[in-house]
Amino acid sequence: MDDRTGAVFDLGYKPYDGERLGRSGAIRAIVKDGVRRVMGLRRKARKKVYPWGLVVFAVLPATVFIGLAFTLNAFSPEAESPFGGHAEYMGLTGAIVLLFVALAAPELLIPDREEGVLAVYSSRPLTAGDYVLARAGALFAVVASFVLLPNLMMYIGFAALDDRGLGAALLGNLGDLARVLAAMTAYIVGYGAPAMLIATYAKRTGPAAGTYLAVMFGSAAFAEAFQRIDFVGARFGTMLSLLQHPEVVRSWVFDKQQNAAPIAAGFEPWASAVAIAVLGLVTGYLMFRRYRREL
Amino acid sequence: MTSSPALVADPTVEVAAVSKWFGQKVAVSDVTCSFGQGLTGLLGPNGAGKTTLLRMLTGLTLPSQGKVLVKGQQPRANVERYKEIGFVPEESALYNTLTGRDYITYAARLSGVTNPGQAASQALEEVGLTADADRAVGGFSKGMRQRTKVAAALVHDPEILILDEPLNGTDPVQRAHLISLFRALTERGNTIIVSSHVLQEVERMTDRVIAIVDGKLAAAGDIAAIRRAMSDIPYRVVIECDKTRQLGAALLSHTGVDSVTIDDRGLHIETSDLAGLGSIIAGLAIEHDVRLSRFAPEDESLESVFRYLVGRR
Repeated sequence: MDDRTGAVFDLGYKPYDGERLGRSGAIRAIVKDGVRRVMGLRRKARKKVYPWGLVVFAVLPATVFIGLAFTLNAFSPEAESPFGGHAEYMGLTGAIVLLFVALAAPELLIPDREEGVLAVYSSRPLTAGDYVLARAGALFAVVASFVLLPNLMMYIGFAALDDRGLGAALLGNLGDLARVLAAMTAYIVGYGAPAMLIATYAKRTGPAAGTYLAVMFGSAAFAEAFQRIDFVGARFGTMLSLLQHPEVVRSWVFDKQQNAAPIAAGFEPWASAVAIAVLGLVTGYLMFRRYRREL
Repeated sequence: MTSSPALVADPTVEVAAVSKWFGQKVAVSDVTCSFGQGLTGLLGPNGAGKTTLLRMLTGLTLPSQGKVLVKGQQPRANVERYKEIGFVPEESALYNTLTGRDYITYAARLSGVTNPGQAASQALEEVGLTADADRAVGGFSKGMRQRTKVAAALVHDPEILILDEPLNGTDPVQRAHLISLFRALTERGNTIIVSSHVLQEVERMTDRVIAIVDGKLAAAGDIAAIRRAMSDIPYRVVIECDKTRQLGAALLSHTGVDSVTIDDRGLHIETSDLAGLGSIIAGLAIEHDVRLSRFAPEDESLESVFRYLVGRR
């Protein structure tokens, strides 16, 4: 008997026949890609230096201080902290947020447009709004992580060294955490929105980052000038200070003294919070309008 | 039954009186056609409006006038329709820093594929890129980049594939591979619309073409039928026989034969009445004792048809 066997296999097209997810899966994928891109993951070392350098700057001081406090166990950390409490530390991280979003926002948006990659998104089951939301979400996620991490370390560290005991201190200081979240949101929206808006229309990442920083610092200088000019309505010019609004909100929520231009011009701190909200909404609308044409 | 060769009986994609203009420039003008299962070649010279039409089919661009329907619904911002469309754009559309595998996996995630890694591996295998899948796309040749784009379009197994110049930059082996892939998809019942300027390759893929010239629908249907419909351009026929001079002289006396030239290959006839020539040629051969070895149209190739269409502008 011939026991030889043989078979002819189908070499033809083998399609994917698994399940399909909805838009949420696509949005998650864009957020994940955005986080990876902003942090330079799976890219050359030089692409990692700037974002990771800033993250280290944001996290390291709190890490060292809390570590020392635990090691020495000899001083009251909140009272003797060289950074003060959360309010002061948020001031430090606010500056880092500004520098971070200057490059992160262009990196998130410009290559997709300029390298013709938007077609990848436009022929997928997602809308222009989904794309904008996902890109903004990626920026928010990264910035929130490095703003929250040191503050959480401080929150837990202070509580652990508190005479009331860890549990009681954590509960007792919950207000601090809420204030950190509020100030963080003000920084991310207040600094992130103009960066995203400029990146929405710019063609190259470097010039976009430069323009952003010029606009931010220029707006503060402009506001200071308006503060000194003496004519009717000049004080409204101080509200143009994009750089100072998040600072005003931070000082407001932590109940600290402040001398930013809008406050010196007689505006209540909530006006800065409203300005940030308006800025965020206008940016979202303009981005959506811009991308609706292409997606 | 459809009345125009530009329309198919059971359309997946319908284009109804579509025009698109950008400011003063009219890119597509009053085009009506449809696409069904199988492969249709979309032809036209550079700037004819092919890419604009394809972008409207995928919903990336809205028509200024008229309507585009994909499976009965307009595709623009239609999330459900996009699950059924795979698009290979003409532009780069690749992330150079990602590897081929990462890029296709990302495309799979964007399309809601639940097992993106497996789907990406399958798509990479289909386009013959498995061996290079873990290299950065930035280092790919143009042909490899094209195949990566095709893999990204295939990864979620769409029913409708819209491919803008997918064979650009591919070498002959890669072309043959992609063409056999498109044929396999056609056999599965997919709707495939391919724009290309590589006419011989379109000819190898399909008989049905839609030709766009200056934004207008210039011709549609079977390539040979389109040629036959161009009655204002004389047919070119080659006749190979043993007595070319005698047969040539005899043909010249017949009305409907516009010109006769003789070279090493035989007789080249230009005629406005191909059917008439076909009916008399056998009788003439018998009458003049000529042994015919070949009688064939010379210009029913897609390239000839295309040249005529563009030349009619």
